[in-house]
Amino acid sequence: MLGTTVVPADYEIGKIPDELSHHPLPLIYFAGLNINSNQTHHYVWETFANKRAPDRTPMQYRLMDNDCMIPPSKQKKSTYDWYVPKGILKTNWLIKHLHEVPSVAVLCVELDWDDVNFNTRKQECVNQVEALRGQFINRSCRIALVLLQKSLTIPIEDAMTTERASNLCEACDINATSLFVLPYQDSQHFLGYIYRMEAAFFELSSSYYQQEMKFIRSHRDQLNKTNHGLLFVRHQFKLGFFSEMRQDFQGAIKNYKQAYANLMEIRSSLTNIYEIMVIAGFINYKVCRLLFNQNDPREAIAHFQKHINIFKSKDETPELEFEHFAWLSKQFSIFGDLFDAAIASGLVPGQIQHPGYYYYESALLAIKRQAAIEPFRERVQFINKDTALVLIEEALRIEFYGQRPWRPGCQSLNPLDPEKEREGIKVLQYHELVYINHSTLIINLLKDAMNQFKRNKCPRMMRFMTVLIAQQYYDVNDYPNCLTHLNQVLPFYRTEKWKQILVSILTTAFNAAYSSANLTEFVKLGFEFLSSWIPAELEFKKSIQESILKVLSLQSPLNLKNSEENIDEAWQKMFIEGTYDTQITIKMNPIVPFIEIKPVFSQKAYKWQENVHLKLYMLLNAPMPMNFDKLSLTFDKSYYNQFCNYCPSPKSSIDGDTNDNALLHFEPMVMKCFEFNFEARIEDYGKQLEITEITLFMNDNPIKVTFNWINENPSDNNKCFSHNSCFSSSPSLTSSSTSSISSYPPKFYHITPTLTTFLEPRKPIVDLSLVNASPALLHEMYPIKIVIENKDEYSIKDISLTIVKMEEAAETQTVSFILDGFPLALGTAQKLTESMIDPGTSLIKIVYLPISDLNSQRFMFSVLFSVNSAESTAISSGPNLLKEIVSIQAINPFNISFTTCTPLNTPSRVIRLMEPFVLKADITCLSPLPLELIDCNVELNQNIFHTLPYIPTTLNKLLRSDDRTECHFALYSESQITQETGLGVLVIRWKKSTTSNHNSNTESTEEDGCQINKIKFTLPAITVQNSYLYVETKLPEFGTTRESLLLTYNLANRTDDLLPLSLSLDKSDNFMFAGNCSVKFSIPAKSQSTQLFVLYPLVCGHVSLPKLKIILYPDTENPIDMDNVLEDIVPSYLLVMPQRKIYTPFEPIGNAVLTK
Amino acid sequence: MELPTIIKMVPSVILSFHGLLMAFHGDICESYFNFFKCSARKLQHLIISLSNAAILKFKSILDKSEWDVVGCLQFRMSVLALVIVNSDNYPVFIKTRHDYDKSKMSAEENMNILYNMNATLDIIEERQGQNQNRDPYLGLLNQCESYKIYGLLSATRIKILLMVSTNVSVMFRDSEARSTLKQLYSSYIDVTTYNPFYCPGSEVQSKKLEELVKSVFGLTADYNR
Repeated sequence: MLGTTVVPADYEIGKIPDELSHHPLPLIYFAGLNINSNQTHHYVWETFANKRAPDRTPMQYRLMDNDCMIPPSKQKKSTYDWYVPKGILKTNWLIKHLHEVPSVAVLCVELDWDDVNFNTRKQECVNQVEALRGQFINRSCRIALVLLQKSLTIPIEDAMTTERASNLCEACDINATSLFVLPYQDSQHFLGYIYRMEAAFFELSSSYYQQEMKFIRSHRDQLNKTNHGLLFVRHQFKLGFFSEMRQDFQGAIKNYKQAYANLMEIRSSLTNIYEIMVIAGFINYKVCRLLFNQNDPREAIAHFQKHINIFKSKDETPELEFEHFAWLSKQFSIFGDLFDAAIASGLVPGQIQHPGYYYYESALLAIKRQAAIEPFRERVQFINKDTALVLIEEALRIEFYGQRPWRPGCQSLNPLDPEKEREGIKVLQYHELVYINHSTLIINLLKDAMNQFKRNKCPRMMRFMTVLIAQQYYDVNDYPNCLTHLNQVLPFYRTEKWKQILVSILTTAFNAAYSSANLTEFVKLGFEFLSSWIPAELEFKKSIQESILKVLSLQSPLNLKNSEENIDEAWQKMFIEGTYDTQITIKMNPIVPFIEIKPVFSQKAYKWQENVHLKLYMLLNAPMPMNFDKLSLTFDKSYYNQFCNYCPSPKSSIDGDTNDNALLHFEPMVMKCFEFNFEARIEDYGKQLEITEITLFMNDNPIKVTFNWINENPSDNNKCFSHNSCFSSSPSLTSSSTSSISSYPPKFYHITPTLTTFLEPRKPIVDLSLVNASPALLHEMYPIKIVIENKDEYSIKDISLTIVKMEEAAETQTVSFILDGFPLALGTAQKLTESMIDPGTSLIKIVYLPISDLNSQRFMFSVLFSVNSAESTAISSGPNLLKEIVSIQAINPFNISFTTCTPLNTPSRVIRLMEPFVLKADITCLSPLPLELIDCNVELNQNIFHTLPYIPTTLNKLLRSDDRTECHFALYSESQITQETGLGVLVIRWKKSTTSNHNSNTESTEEDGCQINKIKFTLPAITVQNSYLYVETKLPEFGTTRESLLLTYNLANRTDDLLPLSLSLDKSDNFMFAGNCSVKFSIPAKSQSTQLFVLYPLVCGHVSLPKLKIILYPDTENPIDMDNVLEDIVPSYLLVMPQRKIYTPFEPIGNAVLTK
Repeated sequence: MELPTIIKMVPSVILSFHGLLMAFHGDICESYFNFFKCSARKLQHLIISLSNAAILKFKSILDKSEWDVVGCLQFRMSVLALVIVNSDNYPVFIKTRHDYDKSKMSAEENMNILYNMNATLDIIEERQGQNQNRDPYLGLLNQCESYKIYGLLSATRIKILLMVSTNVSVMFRDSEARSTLKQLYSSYIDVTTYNPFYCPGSEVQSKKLEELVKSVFGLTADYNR
């Protein structure tokens, strides 16, 4: 009955016929070639027609048989006045001009110019031309004559050839330009001849088509728009087509666009709407294709857009709505194909402008098409299939494109015959329902779209296509295919977490699994569906949960779909056949969880021999309680797995509710906590412990289910299980979800999972102690004894010490300490010993620290060491650190006061140039410990010198607390110092007294005492005054009454000039004296003068000398009184002894002196 | 509709006449009035005498702003869906016309819209790399037979997508989409960053935002929230 189905299936709405999609090429006929028997002819033909390089002039060649009939042209009407066109475009016209009516007919004749029988041969040729002409009735097709000649080259133009050629042209009635000579034996230039001929043929054909177009245009004047709207379209289309034939693409586009515009002007009615749509589709196809070829995709898209906008809303009757959708869908897919072809030839698509969207749109319309035909399924069942087939075949043979087969050529505006219309439409519907496989169509379109989206960086759109494909498979009950497609995209949508989308996909997938009795998928998707994150009816979820449990115990699920079809049977069949997995493993990480787990180690790190404590919080968010049989944890060290298995014995479950808590029984939304305690192995100390997997088992049923959580980010701490935070519904989510479970225990959210912990290794037992005797003295190298005592069972090595002065920035720590006699900078690590410290022994080192100021200072001693053990991991072998802080309070060891004195030992603050003075240092010991003063020296500034050749003083004096001692230094200055300037520094070298050390331990004294410290004190600042005069006094140490003595004043001029002065010696009651009592004289520059006086003491005791008075520059306006100066340098008192009584006889001598 | 609402719809008017008594020219009022379908009596409250100069000035402002209001409303009547997506591409706020009026959109169409919105993230992700100028408004992202999608991408990668139907034969101006998206964005900032109880990454729940979204869908005529 349906043996002829091939034909009806060809009827396709909106299909572009082959003749239209064929690329139009000028058609050239070849006559007179006998390619089967003649080698030369065959060669010529092959070169023309078959060996075509892409750069050759586009042509279509056909061989012409002698009896082939060219379709004759119809007699053109003289007037169009009464002519009513029956349709827009005839179905045979395109084919006719593409393949049947040539533009040029080429006659090939073997004829040499120098042929002996030229005239006879010429006549034969003329006859052949005539015969050829006879085949074209009413066709103005061009005729070309090709002479195949034996000569090797083009013959030279001599009189004979010229004459014979023109003769021949005349006889054949052809233009001289249409005569060609082909020397076929000239193999070197043969191809060149062919190309040139081809170009000439193209010219000829072009002029032929031009003429045809002129002809068409000529009868446009006779047309009027009211009656001949259809002809306007037809003619314009023909013009476009001929332009295309001439390869004038711009002209073709212009003409086709005009045809489209003319088409739009036709009044559309129910009668012709389909015809208009079809033709519009054709013209649009032509326009878009040409625009794409001309590399103008924007214009093509714009034209297509316009085309769609015009026809989108043009509905036919509801019975034929499917046809409209089918046509629209076809338009999109055709455009998609054109676009794709353009891309294949070099067009670059964009992310939002590529064929994918057109295929997608086409698929959407195809879906609408399917929906539109569905209501008529019942109706067409009563149709007579034979008449239907006849009509459909009729539709394929219709005279005009797009017309109804039951009323061909009908263009009248009169109402149509309703009965005939109804029958015809029924047939169309019948065809649509019987011969069109919609889902294959849709799926193919979607697959095309999917490929395009994939290619053009639209992964989400691509997945959307996959979902649509799956939906199609679902609709046609192809559940396995549906599930495969959905499983491809589910992982992505799970991470994307667009709830509505995910829920919709899950629902489809679940239903597909259910309907196809796919046990594994049913269980997997079912469990996922239970989560409170999925907003579904609670009752529905409950029935799902029940169904899952039933399925696991090999029973059919509840009827979840309210459909009639009996899915039970499928399930039963599946159970009987045993085509199911007995072990299902569900990976919980990616899916929406119906049970949530948060493992927490109670501490981030566990100490030596501390119990590891692990808590596992679990929360079921399924609608109904659930039981599991076993819970097990896997660690990265599998040894611990044995401790973390929870498997309640079945006995306890019999006991009833009493120890419900102990069971793996979960109530919805009730948080449960399982605790595990275990001891770490010794060899695992010093390592991380990490949970890698958590597994829940449901083993009670014939089908065992395992739920598996995997720590996906090992090393990345605490990321797993919480990574899908959006799934584990936050409080705000649950309140909005339609699920009635809103009592989510908030506590669960505040638990942060801890998946790793650290097992801290044991610390080695090593003590660090610092021994020191307070207080420290300023500028002392303060000794601190470091004792490192190893109490462990392993020896330690690589011991290094770092001392850091605290409360001080690192950069400023330039101070160095002394260890083993070497100065070392603070803050750097120093190896203490090369050897190891064996168990039970200790290392003692003394470090001398500089005490630079009196503030209390803190030093941090850090000792790094490693344990000398090869294998043990329990003890932390790596660098161990011991730290000790010592606080040092420093005091000043000495208190020193300075005084400057005159040479007379009277304190004086005035120091004069070149005049000696005495610096006295008074040293008081403040230290509670006795100190030994080694020496005491001054380091003098410039211009200050010792009066005597300097010998460093060595004191070696022992000072106890509050002891005092003095040092004297006689100094003078060589230059004047006007501003207060320090004299220099006093350097005291001292050490702690060894004698006072009560320790009899010799070793200790040796180490303790030998450190000599230096302390520096700044000497006072002085000014040095310039002086005019220096008076040196010579006087015996003491005088005796009534015994004369000599007083000498040496006056030294310190100026660079002559110094006039007046000198007088005041009278005194205590002495009689002889000498210049009052004298004026001058001292030359830098020289001295001496004044002698003989004194005769009258009284004894500490008597004042006669006062010396000197006035400088006495006779000038500014005399200078030297009183102040003299006070300091001239002694004013003399000790006078009483006279010795024993030597009385000498008394007169004394008298004599006196009288002088 | 309350009268103050009408005034609010023309914000520029309010700005320039704040604190002044004003009078509408009768004709303009009428046309406005028909547009908003209010009763004439309510309008009379507004008609308070004012100097001629003020009326003229007011008129010119009104003429300009009238088009804005109409354009905006037409734009909003055709909004199909709105999605606010956070930096992880998780939708913190989804509304489609289906949520308000089930009769205007089938569930299937609703799903298709959601898929399309989701797929637009492809385009945004592609643009993320290219977006050199820092204008968060991305403009028209995608266009199909029945809808257009406009988008906004903030510096913190918050994406706001607005789907507008093209079935209504209105020429949309870019500025409508821009202002609507910016308004939504600032409101989103308000309800998330200024709300100490908002947990980042969770769905946004805010009456204020709901109200604004409702007006974006053209369901309330409240122009300024």
